[in-house]
Parts: sequence; C-alpha cells; structure tokens
Amino acid sequence: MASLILSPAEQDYITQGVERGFRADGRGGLDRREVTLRTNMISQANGSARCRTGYLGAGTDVLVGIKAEVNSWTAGEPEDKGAIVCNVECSPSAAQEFEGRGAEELNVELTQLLDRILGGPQSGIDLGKLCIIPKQAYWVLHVDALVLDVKGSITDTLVWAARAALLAARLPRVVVESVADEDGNMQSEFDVVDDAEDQISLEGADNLPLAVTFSQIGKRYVVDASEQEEAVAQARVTVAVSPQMEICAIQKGAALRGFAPSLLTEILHAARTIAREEFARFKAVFDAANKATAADEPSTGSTFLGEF
Amino acid sequence: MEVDTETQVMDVTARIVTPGSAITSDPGFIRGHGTFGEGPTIYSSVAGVIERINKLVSVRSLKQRYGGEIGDIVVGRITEVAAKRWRVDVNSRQDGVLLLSSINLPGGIQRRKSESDELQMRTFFSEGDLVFAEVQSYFADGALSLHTRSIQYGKLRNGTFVAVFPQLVPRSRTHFHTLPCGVDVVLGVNGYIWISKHVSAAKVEANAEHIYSDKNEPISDEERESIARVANCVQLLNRLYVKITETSIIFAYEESLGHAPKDLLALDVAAELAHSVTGRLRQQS
Amino acid sequence: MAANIIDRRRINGPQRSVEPLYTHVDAAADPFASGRGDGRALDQVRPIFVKTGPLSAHRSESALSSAAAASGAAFYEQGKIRVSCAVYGPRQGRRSSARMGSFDCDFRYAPFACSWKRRSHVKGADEREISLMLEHAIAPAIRLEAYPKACIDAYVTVIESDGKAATIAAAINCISAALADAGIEMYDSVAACSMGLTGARWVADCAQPEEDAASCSMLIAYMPSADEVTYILQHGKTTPEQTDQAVQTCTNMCARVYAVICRYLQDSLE
Repeated sequence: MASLILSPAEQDYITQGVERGFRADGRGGLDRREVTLRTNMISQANGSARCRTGYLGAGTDVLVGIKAEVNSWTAGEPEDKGAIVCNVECSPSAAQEFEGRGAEELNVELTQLLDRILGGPQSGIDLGKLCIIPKQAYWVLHVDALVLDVKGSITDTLVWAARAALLAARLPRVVVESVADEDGNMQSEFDVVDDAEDQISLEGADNLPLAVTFSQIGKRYVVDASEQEEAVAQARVTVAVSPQMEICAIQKGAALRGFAPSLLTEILHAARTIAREEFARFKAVFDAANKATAADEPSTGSTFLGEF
Repeated sequence: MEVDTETQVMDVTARIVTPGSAITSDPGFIRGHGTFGEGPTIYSSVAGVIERINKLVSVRSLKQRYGGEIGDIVVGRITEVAAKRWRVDVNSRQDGVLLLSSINLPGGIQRRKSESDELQMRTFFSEGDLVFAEVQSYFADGALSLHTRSIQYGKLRNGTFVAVFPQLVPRSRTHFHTLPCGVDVVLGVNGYIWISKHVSAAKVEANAEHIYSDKNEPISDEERESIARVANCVQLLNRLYVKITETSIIFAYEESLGHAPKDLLALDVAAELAHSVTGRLRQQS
Repeated sequence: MAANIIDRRRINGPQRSVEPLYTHVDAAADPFASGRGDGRALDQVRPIFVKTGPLSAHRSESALSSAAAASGAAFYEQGKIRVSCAVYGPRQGRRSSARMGSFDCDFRYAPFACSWKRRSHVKGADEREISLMLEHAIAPAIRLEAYPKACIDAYVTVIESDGKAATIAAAINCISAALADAGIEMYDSVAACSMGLTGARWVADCAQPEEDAASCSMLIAYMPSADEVTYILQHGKTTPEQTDQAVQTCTNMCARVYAVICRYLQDSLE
C-alpha cells in the first residue's frame, strides 16, 4: 500500500484539499465511494459475499467465504462455545507487490483486525449457539477473505464483505441425541442434517459491527481514503461500531505520526455518526444483493462476476 | 479462422483475430507488428484488429503498453535518481531515461552543466516527481530518452494525476490544452494525464527561476471543483473506451454540469453521461 | 480416525484423555469490591524497573570492539512481566527508501514465558502481529527522516509474561528505553499502558487472571511531550463513554510511566 510515491506537489494538493473539505475526486471529508455487494455466489461455501468500494467497476474488491466445520473439543478450549477463525489474504492480482511474501505483513495486519472484530463476543454472534455438545463438539466458522483489488480503504470493505457473508451464511441443522454405550453410560451423539432446505442462519448476525477507517491528512481526517490519499496520510485508525452504537474494536494502523488525544476523541464521535448512516446503507445494499441472488440462475462464472 | 486459400486474397480490414490465427497466405503481403510468419502464411501473435497499409499487415492489440515514438509528448514519474540521469516511469516496457544534459537548468540561459549540478540533481527532480517531457531518441536497448528543453515542459504542479489506457490518447499537434473552464490538461501519449489549475504562459515565463519548485500556487475551491470534474470526466471516458481528446473532454465536462463532481462516477449518473457523451461524439464525426 | 492401524514406533497414549481437574474459585459479582488481589489501586500500574545496557555485564566489555553487539539494549520489569530488548542500527537497510529510514521490530516470547503452555520456538501468528503493532507504535516517535537509507531493528524477547496487553505495553516501554540507549533520534519517548474492563470498571495494567475476567482490553501508546497517541488498540465491546474514559485514563497513566522511564534515563546518564 505504501509503495505509491507521490510528488510533493501532488501531496500538497491532496493535503490542502482535505483541509478545505474538498478532496481530489470531488468528495467531502466524510463522503464515501459507491459500494457494490453480491451475496452467496459461491455454492461450496456456507455463506459468501463480494464487496467493492470504488467507481466505475474499479475499486477495492474483497471476496469473503464462510466455511463451517465441526471440531472436536480439546482441553483448554472454552467448554460451551463455538469459534470464529479469520484469515485474510491479499491476492497478487490486486497489486504487484503482493507477489510471493510481499503481502505477508498486510495479511497479518488485516487478519488480526478481522479477528479482533469478529473473533469474540464483541462480534455480536452468539458463540454459545455454535456449541453442539459441550466439551465434545462445536462449530468453527472459518471466515476467509481474499483481497482481489486494492484502491484504498481495504479495512472497511473487508468488514462490509465479512458482515454480508456472515449474514448470508446458513448452517446445517444438527440433531443431538443421547445414546447408551456398551457400559450403559449415557453418551451424547450428533448428526448433521444434510438437507439444503433445512438450514439455519447465524444467531446474532444482525449485531455484527461495521468498521470505519479514518486517515489523518494534514490537520483533518477523511474516511474511505483513496490510494493516493493513503500514501499521504500521517495516521490511520479503524473503529468498529455495532448497530447499537457500541464500540467493538479500535486499531491504529501503520503510520508516520500519532493522533492528538483530542482528535482521537473527535474521531470516536464521528465514527458513530458515520456508522449510523453506514448501517442504513448496508441494509439497502444487502437487501438489493439478496434480491439479485434470489432472482439469478444457479451460480456460474458469469453470475459470479455479475455486475462486477 | 479459415484462410481463403482459393483466391489468396483476403479482406484484411476490420477483422478481429486471436493469437495464432492465420491472417493470409498471400506471399505478396509484408509482416508488420503483432504478426509472425511461417512460410508464406502470416499469423497473428496478439488479439486485436488487423490493420493494413498497402502491403504491410499488422495487428493492433486492443490493450497494450505504450511503445514510444520520437517526438511523443509524455508525462512520466521519476523512479530513481542515478548518475547524471533520472529513470522515469512512462508506462512503457522499460523505464525512460532523462539525462541531466537534456533538461533546462534554472537561470534559463543555456549554460554548461557543472559538477555542482550533478550533486544537486534531487533539487531538480526527485523520486515521485511528475515530469512533462518529449521523447528525444532511443537508446540502444530500446529505452526512451526524454528531454524537457522547452519552457512548457518540466515539473508538473497544481493538480492531480489520472492514468488511462495509452491507446486512447491519440498523437496530435498539441498535447497541452487549456480548457474553457480554466483547467490545464496535459495529455501524455503514454496514457498519463495531468490536470491542473490554469497558469498563464506569461506567468510561467516570469517564473523561469522557479521551474523546479515543489510549491503549488494557491488553488481556490472553485478551481478544485473544476479540476475534480475534469479528472472524473477523463476517468469516465477511459471507462467508456473513448478517445481522450480536448473535444471529448469538453463534451463530457459540459454534459456533467448538472451533477456534483463527486457523483459523476456513481453508476447511474455515469451511465446517463455515457449515453449523452457518446451520442454527441458520434454526431460530430 | 484410523484406530486399527497401530503405530508401533512411538509410545501410544491412551485413546481418550481426561482434562485435569481444577478447583474453580468463584468470582464474585464485583471482584474488585474489596480491592485487587495484590492490593493495588484500580488505576495503579505494577512497580516498574528499567535498566539500559546489555543484559550481561560480560558482553558490555566487548561492545566497543565487536560490531555484532547491539547499539542499545534495555531490560524492563513490570510486576511479573520481564522483557528485554536489543536495538541494532541505524545501519545499512535492505528495503528502506532514499527519503526515510525504516524501523523493524521482532517480538518473541521465550518458550517458557506463558502460564498456560510451552510456546513453540517457531514464530507464531500472534508474535508476528505483535511485532507489527510494536512497529506501528514506535515508528511515529523516531525521526526516520534523519536516517535515509538506514534501518533500525529492535529485537524484543519476553522472558516472562503476565497479561497479554500489559506485556505488549511493557515491550513498547522497553523498546523506548533501548532506543534512547542506542542514541537514536526521537521526537519523544513512547510510553504505553493497558487497561481491562471488568463489569463497568476500568482496571489498569491487568495481570493474567484479571485480564481473563475482563470483557474488553485497551492498549494505548502515547508521547506525553508531543501529546500524540501513537497506538491504540481496543479488543472487546464498550460503550462510547467508556472508550472516552479509557483514552483519558490511559494517557494519564502513560504519562506516569513515562516519568519513571525518563527519571531512570536521566539518572543513568549522570
């Protein structure tokens, strides 16, 4: 991301623009680019979503697939809870420097960010419901994200896609029964119902947070920074906000400088204002995506690409 | 693709071919760019459109990197400062080269390059700087040699950068345009475009001492809006795969005036604009 | 599982294992009603000990002659947490740009550092993440533009940890001291502090059991003189008011930690 080198004149143009509230592409400081969303276009996954932030078919593009697996419980793990495990990979198709081990650092950073937002009770998902038999078996939701294109502001797009994929995800139903073994002890056993019609959505997925990333440029900050703006930004912080306007996670990214505490407080307040609009927008875009999926033929290459 | 061996004469205009397809087996034709031959048959080596000039058959790929020609006006970004030269990214197969001896030194008059100039090369151009230059010649390895020996060439300031497909920028008499809306546009043949606030030629000449300054002039909100609008229009034209010329930019600009610059690239607005702009372009031609 | 194939080369454990039994201490509704286990106040950081220079005196004698010795080093203790850090550089960098130096950090737990189980000597994902976090937290403090083409490396080893967030904070403080020892130009020293949210109370510098009981943890790295937050990390859910409060308390505590480190650095110079 930091490979872009701009001339001092360009940097000054961007910085001045942000301070005046007039960005290089005409947006105001807190305006976001267009978001495109598609859901459940990967039939092999329990849930999937593809989200793009940008203009005219180009932009930051993230694909998230959810795979649910049954894990057997081992000592040391929580007894009556399932788990969510995240992994983010930046594809070399997004940028030349992601080739080989080039994306490693970014992968670690994004994976941990997603884990921080989704990997615990702060995600809003009821992990207790992911337990099948306490101390015996539980569901693991693997949230695997693939960053396909980068045009600034990966984190926000990533969380959008992950939220949409988890909301769209369906788990097979599990039947638990007690059986006596040869010694006469009662044992619990379970069966996964293999029926595409008989599936359940994730409990609490409505409470999943969205993330807003702020980049400080000059004396002001912007949201949804473009690639050029990210190259100029002095500091960056991601704030995840739940639909109840609670703060679920904060993480500062790589940067040249820090924030003044007063600016940080201002950002935390702005995060909630923006998140409120974001949730409304998410709902509209998600519903539209679902309608499109429902109307489509079974997923093929072309519906995968769809309007992308 | 079938080759018409009977007549051995082919209509080699306006046909789209894929790599490996035979174009003609008429020995009268000469192989041009994008083709290769085995025996008398000429095959295409790229996917693109067949072009024929008299006996010369070539295939022009729809998407290709910029291949420079002497006299081209380009916009480039400095990637490296080396001994007596800068390496410049010009969207080509190799980085271009700008020799210290091919630039105008501050002071205007032609003077000998001294050792002190060599030591302060970074004060002229440093990594990341954008230059407006002309292709002077080729090096033996095919790299482009650039020069900025004219008052209009040199460092670019006061604006923003957009990259488009190089084949959309046609070679023309002039590549530096001042649009009626008070915005200067530099259309690099290599697909790099610079959009900036208009600075009059007289002012440029008066500032000859400061040609390598990194400072922007004060830019008002109205000017920023015009620059943003033009930049978004250029991106829209690029997406439409329409030739980017002064005329097409002005058309797009005029059509876009009903919308705020930030909305121009939203899908619905863009679709509407695309319709009206292509309509006007067709009418004109 | 293919239980019928018996592996005769290794000693086979029983097919089923049983979890060791623990006696659970029932946590009361408010575990801090009668103060903390170690008698600290809620906003009190565990006692801090800092020392700059190499861990063993033996190495310091050869430091002048041997180029391999670190440019700066520090040892940092905060309660049970023990962290050591070595700083190399500024030296010729591999991937740094002509404009600015780069700062790289390598964070490792010793295999015996954690209470739960032995850590593998292979670098884990969490260690890689913490390495990145430390880079992000410290880099804003270093005048990297003063070191074009150079790189500065910090190697942090956690000898003993007690509370993850507190250990990261300790690592940041340790690097700060080591950088000062190495004579690297900085805008300000970075001091870091962590807190955990238990019930509705923020508890400073949580030890492992306290952290396990907390629903949210907050880590802040702060430069008091420059008044800049160089790193912030919140893990868990809070109300916005609680976050505001945490930012404020944490920066105050960072300033106190900073004072301790600065006092030591001044004393050591005299």
